Amino acid sequence: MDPFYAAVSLYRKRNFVQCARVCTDILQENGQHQAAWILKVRAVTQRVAFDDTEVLENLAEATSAENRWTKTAPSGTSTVASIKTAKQDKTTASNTRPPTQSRPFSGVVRLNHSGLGGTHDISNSQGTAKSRAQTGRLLSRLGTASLSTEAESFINVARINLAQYAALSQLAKPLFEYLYFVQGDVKSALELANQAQQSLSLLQSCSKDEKNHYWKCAIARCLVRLGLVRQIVQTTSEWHIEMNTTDGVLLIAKSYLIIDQPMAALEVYKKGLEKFPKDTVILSGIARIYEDLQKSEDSVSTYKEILKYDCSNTEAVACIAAYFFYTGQPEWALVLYRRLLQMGIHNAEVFCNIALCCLKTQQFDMVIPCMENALNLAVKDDLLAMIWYNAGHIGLAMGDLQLAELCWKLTRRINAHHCEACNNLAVLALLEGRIQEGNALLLASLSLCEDLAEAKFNLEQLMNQDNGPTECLI
Amino acid sequence: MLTLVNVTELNLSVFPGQITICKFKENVDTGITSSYVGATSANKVFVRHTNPVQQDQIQYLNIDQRITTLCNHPVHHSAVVMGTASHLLVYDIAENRTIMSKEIENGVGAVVIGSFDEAGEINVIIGGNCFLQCLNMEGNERYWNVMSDQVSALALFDFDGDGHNHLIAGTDDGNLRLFKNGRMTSEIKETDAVTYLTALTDHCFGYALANGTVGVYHKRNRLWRVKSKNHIVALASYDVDNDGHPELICGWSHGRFDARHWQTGEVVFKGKLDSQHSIVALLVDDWLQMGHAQLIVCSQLGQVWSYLPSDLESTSLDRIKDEYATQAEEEAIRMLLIRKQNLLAELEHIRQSGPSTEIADEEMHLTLTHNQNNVLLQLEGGAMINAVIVFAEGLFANGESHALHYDPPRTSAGIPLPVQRNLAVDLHVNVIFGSPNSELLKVVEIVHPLPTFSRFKSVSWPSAENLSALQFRLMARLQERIQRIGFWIAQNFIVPPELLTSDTSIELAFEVLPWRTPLRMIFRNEGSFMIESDRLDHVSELIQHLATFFNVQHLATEIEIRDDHRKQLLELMEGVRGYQAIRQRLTVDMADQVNEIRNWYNESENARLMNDTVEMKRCYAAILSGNQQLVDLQNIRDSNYSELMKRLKQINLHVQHSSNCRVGKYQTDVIQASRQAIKAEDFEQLLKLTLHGIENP
Repeated sequence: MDPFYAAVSLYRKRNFVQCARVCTDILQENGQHQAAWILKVRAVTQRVAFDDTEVLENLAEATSAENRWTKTAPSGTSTVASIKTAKQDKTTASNTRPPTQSRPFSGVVRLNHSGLGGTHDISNSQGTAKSRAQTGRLLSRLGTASLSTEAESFINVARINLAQYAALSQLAKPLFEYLYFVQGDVKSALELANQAQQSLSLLQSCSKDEKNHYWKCAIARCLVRLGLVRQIVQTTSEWHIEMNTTDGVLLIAKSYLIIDQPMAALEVYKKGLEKFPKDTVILSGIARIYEDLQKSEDSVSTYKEILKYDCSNTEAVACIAAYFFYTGQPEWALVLYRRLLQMGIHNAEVFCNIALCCLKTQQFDMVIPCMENALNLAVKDDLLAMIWYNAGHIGLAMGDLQLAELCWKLTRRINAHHCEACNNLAVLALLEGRIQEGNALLLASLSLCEDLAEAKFNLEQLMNQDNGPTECLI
Repeated sequence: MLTLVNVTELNLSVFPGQITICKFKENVDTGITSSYVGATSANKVFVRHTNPVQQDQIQYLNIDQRITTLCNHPVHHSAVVMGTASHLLVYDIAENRTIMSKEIENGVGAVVIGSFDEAGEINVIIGGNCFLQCLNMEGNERYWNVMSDQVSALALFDFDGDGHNHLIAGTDDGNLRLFKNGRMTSEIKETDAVTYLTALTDHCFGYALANGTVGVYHKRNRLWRVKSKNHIVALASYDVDNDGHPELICGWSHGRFDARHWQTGEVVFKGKLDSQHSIVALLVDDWLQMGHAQLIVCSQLGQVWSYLPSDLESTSLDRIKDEYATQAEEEAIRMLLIRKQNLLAELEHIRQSGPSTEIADEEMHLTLTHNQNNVLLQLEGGAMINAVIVFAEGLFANGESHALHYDPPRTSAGIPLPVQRNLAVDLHVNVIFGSPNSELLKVVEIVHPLPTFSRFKSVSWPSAENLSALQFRLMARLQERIQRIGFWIAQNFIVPPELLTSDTSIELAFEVLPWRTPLRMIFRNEGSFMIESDRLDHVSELIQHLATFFNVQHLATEIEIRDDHRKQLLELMEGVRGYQAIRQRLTVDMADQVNEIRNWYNESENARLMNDTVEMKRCYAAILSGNQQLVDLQNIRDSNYSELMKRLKQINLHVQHSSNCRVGKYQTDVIQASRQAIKAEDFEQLLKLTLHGIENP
């Protein structure tokens, strides 16, 4: 069999590593085999490519503080400000959920770096809420990481004549993706994209070609990576209207989100919806913004719309379930979580949530088995700590304070920075009259998390010496 | 006639022309609140809320670009329109949302927003480095036009009374241009850079110049002007005496402001801020919610004074009518009194001197000629000239008059006139002379017109061996008799009349002062003419003047450019492309550098937490050198940017001149086609347009 045919077949089967290997062999025999070269580039790229329109990258996250237009935006117009106000406004907190570390607001943990592998990571509300800052600068190193697994880099960027490749339209795109995803060399990728766009516009002057959109998107991608978000927003506002792909809409909306203008992003999404009606990706973008703006009703109705078009959208199911759970309809939440299980989301978070739902719906016989399942499935330490923390709540609900105390102690053992568990242990200690210990635990809890309102409140109560049964548990 | 109603401290310094008012409606039950929005020196915009938003009365917007101009939005009251050195941004403060942003390569110099011409929708007009651009609210370009210099002031108002607003633009070289439906309808030449423009009532508009002149135009005619040694820093129109006609309010650099009657320029009201405050802006807005717009005076230190007319209640039509009647009477009496005064003075004078005194009654003769480098005003007469005073608007570098005293008196005088621009002005020459043996002197005022092209010095036609080709050669056809062309030349040039006597053709050679660039014109009897010059702007000015004089609606021309100049032009245009590419690359390099520094910073934090001093030192050293590199990159970028600006301006000027070599639809077509060519970076096409115009419009 012709080795090149075999390579194409391997590529079709998504066996990229094998494909790349075969292509390398071909190229060793004949260094001028362009088709094999492209195929290898594509295979290597496909192995590590991810959908970067979905992910708010940590790099951009780090620059967003300076990219943001204003630090004090009017309430309801900024995702950053709304979290602040929610925390300050305790009067409204009775019906909205306080977003703390272990009780995230959303049903889905997004922006998670582990989601870059290709599948969208659906973790659960009570599951891992990894703080954004902790994800660190992993993404910017992603390029180098994947390179090291590749072991050999067959394209030496410094020696490539980019202008020459940019003129060849069939070579330029794979090369761009290789530079962007595999090498992580955004600077060269951007240069290539710029030159390709120029040569393209020279070729077909005046006639607007759809291919141009690819390069516009490519440039926007590179600019996001480089943190030049403002430049996208400022240079591309004219072309997102005539965008021919959803990528453009998503990219522009994303850049608006990075500079913290959710309303502008919302408008971009809505314009995109006019062009691509019923597009679930755009719809979920809208739903996420509503969620960030604390408009849970709007968010849930958008998620419901998504389910109409795509009934297996796990993000929508999980978010609606979380909404039901928090609005006092655990039965509905249970149904939805079971649906998630049926769809094959077989992980610790879902089981933990089902356990909590069972608890709320008085189906006590299912609580412990689900919890055990969750504990068996939990691999990461953080996750395990969360599940023990929730197990503590189950103990509390069943009146077994000793179980609760044990669970929370386990939580603290696994994750020493778990301030909520610390606070809860303090309350238990106070109930048993161990004032000194309780006080110390509260102070420890506050030192872990300064704005933990419950711990502050408890401490105040303790100071006032009327330590009645008013302590707050989280 | 104005009463102070409110003084507010902003506690922020304000820059001239960079403050405006935005209005917010926070929720349904609270009313509208007004906030001052202004630029700071640190590339930020402050918003000073009347009600504190999130415990902070002052909100800062981080723009990251040098802000050149600010104004509010006529429909979205909570939005602010910002022009920066490279972008136009429309940002809604209440919704924290960018409504529109558009890259303006040439930089924004002035912005005006509103609906104008027949189109009912809101448009933004941007004036900048030799261009004028009109965008709709989606950011799409409606039209584009070239200007002769940096656009410094823009205003929208109805100057022809058709019920629609039109655009006026003022430039740094003192041109006022009126546009209608994207086409320039007329051009007025002023004497210095136009700094402010404001619309008044009844097809009038007020203007202010950098040299301290302020005045009012009614359509194309100037009603009045006043010149002061102080600078005007703000201009507004506000009805001070509540008579239904707004007065022109000028804010001066020394902290005074005055209201002048729109028709006569008479000062109606004077006001003064404290001595340490200088005015930076005048706004008219009902920001205190009093039901009547206030006149707001902003000082540099951020104090805001709000004024209202004092007799606001007594407004009635009758009162206005009465006032009109009395005004007319008063005016008549005043005129008569002045006449009486003059007559009395004359009588007194005659009585004193008596009839015996001999008064020199020789005539004075005025002629305009050229000497080596200047236009020369020659005075000749039988009497002895003691002194000469020449008044001419905008002719002399500092001031409007030029005085010469001759001691001892002489019979003839030559006064060099430093003519810098092609502008027809009237010279008011006051000659003081007397006879040698008389004590009394006589003053004669002579008005002599200075022709438009007075600085074109006529020289003899170069001999065949000296007849080198000039850079530009323009050819066109004009269906006029040669005598009429001779008449045009006689009226607008200083040319000895014997050169114009020929019936078949007129051949003239000039040197344009003060650079003495050669220029030749040949008009032939059959209707064709040719102009040769080294500078395209001279040619274009001649063509425009010729077209207005003979009322030519459309004129197509052919231009020839010598090869070396053609190469020069192409190099200029190629240079722009190169600079743009470099600019892009530098931006990316800087972003990359910033990311690198950020990484090093994180590393250093890690090292600090782990008490690894050696590593920490290494990181800080890396940050330091990275920072130095950033500074260097920024310097390179700055110089690159200014170079790019210079070239873009040259290209715009080139388009301006080449389009001005055509008239009517050929002119606008060339502008539009050039814009397309520049956008597509098709410089060959641009050059072709320069040479041949549009063949089939």
